[in-house]
Amino acid sequence: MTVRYVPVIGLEIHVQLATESKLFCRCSADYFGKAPNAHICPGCMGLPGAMPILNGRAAELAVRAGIALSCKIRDRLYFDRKHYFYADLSKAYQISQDGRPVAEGGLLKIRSDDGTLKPVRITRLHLEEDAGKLVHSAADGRLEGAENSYADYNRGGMALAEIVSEPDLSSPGEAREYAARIRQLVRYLAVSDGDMEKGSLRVDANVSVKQVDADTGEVLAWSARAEVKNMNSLRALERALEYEIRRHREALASGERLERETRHWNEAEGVT
Amino acid sequence: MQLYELSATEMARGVRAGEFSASEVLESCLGRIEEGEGALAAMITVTAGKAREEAALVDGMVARGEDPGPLAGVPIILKDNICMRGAPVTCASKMLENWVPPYDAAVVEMAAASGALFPGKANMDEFAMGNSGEFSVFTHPSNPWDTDRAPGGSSGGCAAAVAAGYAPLALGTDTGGSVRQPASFCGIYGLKPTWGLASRRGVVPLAPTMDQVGPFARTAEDLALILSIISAPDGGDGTCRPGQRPDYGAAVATPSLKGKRVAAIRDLEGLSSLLDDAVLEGLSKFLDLCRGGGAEIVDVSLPVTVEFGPPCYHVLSRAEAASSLARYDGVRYGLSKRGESLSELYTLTRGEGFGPESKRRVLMGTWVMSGANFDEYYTAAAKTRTLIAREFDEAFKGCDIIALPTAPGPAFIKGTQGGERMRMANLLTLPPNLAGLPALSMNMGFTGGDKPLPVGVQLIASRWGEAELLNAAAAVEKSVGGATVASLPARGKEGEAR
Ligand SMILES: [Zn+2]
Repeated sequence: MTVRYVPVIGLEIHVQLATESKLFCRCSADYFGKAPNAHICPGCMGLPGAMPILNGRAAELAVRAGIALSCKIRDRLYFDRKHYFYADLSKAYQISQDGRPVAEGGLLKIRSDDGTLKPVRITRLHLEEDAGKLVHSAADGRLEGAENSYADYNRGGMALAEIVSEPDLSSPGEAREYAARIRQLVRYLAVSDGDMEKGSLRVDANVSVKQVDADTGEVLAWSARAEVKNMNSLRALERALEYEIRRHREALASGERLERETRHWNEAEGVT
Repeated sequence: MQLYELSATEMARGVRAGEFSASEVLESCLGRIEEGEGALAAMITVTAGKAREEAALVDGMVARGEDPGPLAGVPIILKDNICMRGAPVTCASKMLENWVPPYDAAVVEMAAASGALFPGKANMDEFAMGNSGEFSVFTHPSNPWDTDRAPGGSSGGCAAAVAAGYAPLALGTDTGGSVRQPASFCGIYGLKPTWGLASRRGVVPLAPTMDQVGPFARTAEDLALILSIISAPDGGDGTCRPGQRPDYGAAVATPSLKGKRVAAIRDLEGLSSLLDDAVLEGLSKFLDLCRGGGAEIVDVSLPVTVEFGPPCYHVLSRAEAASSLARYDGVRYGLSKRGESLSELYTLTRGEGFGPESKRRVLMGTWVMSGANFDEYYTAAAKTRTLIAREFDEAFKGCDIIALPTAPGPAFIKGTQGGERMRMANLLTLPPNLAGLPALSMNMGFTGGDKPLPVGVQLIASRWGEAELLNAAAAVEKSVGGATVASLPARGKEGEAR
């Protein structure tokens, strides 16, 4: 029996919207490279009694992207609170769209590895707030070994659109192509500057590999899904997926069981 | 007659006419606060200096022939969960004990622009959770009609202050009865407006889908006066309804009950054994006065509300409280305990910063939102709430006002939480919060005995029906009179020590 290994990849792309102010307050969105906590207000700091006022422009841009992705657009906006405790999250909840996203059920055609056109289904596009950033005092900026941590809320409350694809991508090349098409689309529509290095377009990949009997097509086994983060370029996305797929194949081949987990791409060492 | 005994309307008229000054009004009220605080503990912070500056500004305007506005020189007490620059907004919690907000609440801005003065912040249950004032982490407020008794809660300090003549007006918040129940216990007016009528910007949230700022007053006319100021539209609160408000002043100027349909709730009859006789007498007195004024007395049935209102409220209010209180983590402001790790910082800060009731509600709220409980409890309660709102919509097709007791009995003895009967307290006041409706409590007489206690009646109208409530209250007030200022007890030890 010969076996084939088929990668199954879905991407979650966070796009920082090209608004002048944040999603629920009037703080300037031009925060990149500015002094820590220079772009904050009672709203995005979550002070008691401060209330969110939706930035209409952010909604417009999200709808524009949703239309371009052939999504169904909801005629009302609904927001939910996603609760978790972390020092970069000022209200201890993120205002997001959980049950009722602004746009869902879309499609984007990409050029697949063999040159044919391949439709990739878009699950949903929703609006949400970004979190702030923590800076740790250790020499390498990481939490480990740091004496102190500092919180910078300039990014907190920035308007994001999260675009979630179905797991329709089956190679690192396709994933790269899909991400490139999304970036091109948001840039062309002036929805976002799409700059991956600045973090205004961030790609997280969900990847697993299925083991298939090459003759019958029967699925023999699945590897546990891994979420891979921290890819700062399209090249990094492709490399991280290549690495991750290899890891999953080897595990499947040797019968090792993988845990479902979140992994971070290390660009310097080329590992997740 | 002392200046502090005047109504807000009379104070503003006198100040605008130059008959007396805002400073004189303020000093009279500050004197009353000083005299009463030893026994009442109605206040957390007295901001005499700030209020004196405000009074001087008002007097300066009058001297120059300018009009300070319809609240000229009127002192207004603020519940200590309403932000005012220059004073802490403690929420009666260790968590915010020393936190001074960098802004005024919208309702404070509006009242200030109309010439009001702000002599201080009133005691309350911690983060507005409680019905006696006894969950304040500071002192426990007392009822001016009998200092062994609670003034009610959570806005107990506001109600005690207005009843005792500290000020003719106070602003509290009402999430499940926190304005109306203390108003009833202290023998004054309390109004919870329709959800979305008054801006909540700068008001510390408890359960955002139910919270409303609500005024306390001793006359229906004053209630209309303050409502007409604080109900202005506010673009800074996305839930505050835009557009024109009715003329509340007109509603109390020529009140009439002719042709009004006033309804009693049929389903409450089965529960009358849980209600104090004095409370039931108050309700029938109110209905009699309405009938005498030309109203038609009808009845309505609210079976879903009566049976499912309390559990629905308990689930939703706790879920929202857990969400609202999540931000107090010691990272950015308020109490902060240093820990070895982030999770230790959270645990120490929240462990020490929250009192027992806050902790209970955070735990319950988190539980009903966790995993499978979310659908079983939260979603079920949210659906029930829609049914309750519809049931009221149906009921208001057959009536203009629904009348019921505000609380199951008069003020209870401090330290008892009212016992068995008070478990009913929520049932009577929470339905308007669930349905977003306006509701008003007014005094309907006193109990007998050597220390008579006030008894209240509650009126509910359909959405945006505040004018309907004010009209009815003003019409009935013509027969029963406005609330009287409670006389202060002889100075206790604390008072003498000052
Ligand atoms: Zn901001």
